[in-house]
Amino acid sequence: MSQLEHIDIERLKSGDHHEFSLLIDLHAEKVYNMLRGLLRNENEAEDLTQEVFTTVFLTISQFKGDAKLSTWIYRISVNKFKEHVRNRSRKKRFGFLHSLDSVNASESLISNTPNPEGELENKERSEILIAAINQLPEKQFLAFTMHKIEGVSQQEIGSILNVSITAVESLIFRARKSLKQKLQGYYEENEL
Amino acid sequence: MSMDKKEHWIDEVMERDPFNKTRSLPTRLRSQLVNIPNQLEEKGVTVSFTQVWIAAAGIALLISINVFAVHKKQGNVRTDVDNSLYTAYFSTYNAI
Repeated sequence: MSQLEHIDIERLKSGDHHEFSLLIDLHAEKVYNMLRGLLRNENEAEDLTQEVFTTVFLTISQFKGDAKLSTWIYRISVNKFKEHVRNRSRKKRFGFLHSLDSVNASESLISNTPNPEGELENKERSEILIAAINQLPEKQFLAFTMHKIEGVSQQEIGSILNVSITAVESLIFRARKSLKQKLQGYYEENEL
Repeated sequence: MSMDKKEHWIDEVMERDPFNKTRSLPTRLRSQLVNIPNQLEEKGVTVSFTQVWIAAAGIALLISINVFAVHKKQGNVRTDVDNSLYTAYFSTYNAI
């Protein structure tokens, strides 16, 4: 069943609260998880999810139906994310994500790993890779990161970034190539 | 390390990353999201785009009426001045 069968857009545009809560139940979890993946920070993902749905409620009258409602919401999410990153201009572009992430990611990784050596290794690997990902150009960063988030298809990424699936594949390919170059030093150091 | 192994390393690290795993929406966050319309209505922020356009059109109409009225009045004043000069000039002439 498509989302349009679930949600009455006209009622949503008229400010119907019940319809809005249906919208939350259908899309909020995915928005939240997408923002968690992009921001790598629980609290900021929660705050930004609230901002996204406030914008959705206030601007739903602008939704013309030329894209899927979900795509329109995810575009708002990505724009909010970009805005959030721009607001952190005092820090290096995307670099702040690494520092925000280090505590949360390490804690989660440690709690999921049975042996301490493995924990440290995972933590170090994760930090190194995330630092490299954060240096990618914006579109490559978005395509690569969203591609790795569970439940986000390449087609959706294409719709959100307003590019074709082929372009998404190309962005991911270039991101991988760039990551391998950035990580060359690490590979050599660790004789991998 | 071969290219395949390097890619595998990247994929492996990303797969272990807890931020890439789906997590259910926290209950507290869901309540806050569902409450957004109430919060905005309490603040009186909700204004539809139609209302905004109607207000903008109203203001534009008022400005147009004012501009038109000012121009018309300036025209009348000028005519009055012209008439008074004409009368003053020709009254002397007529007297002669």
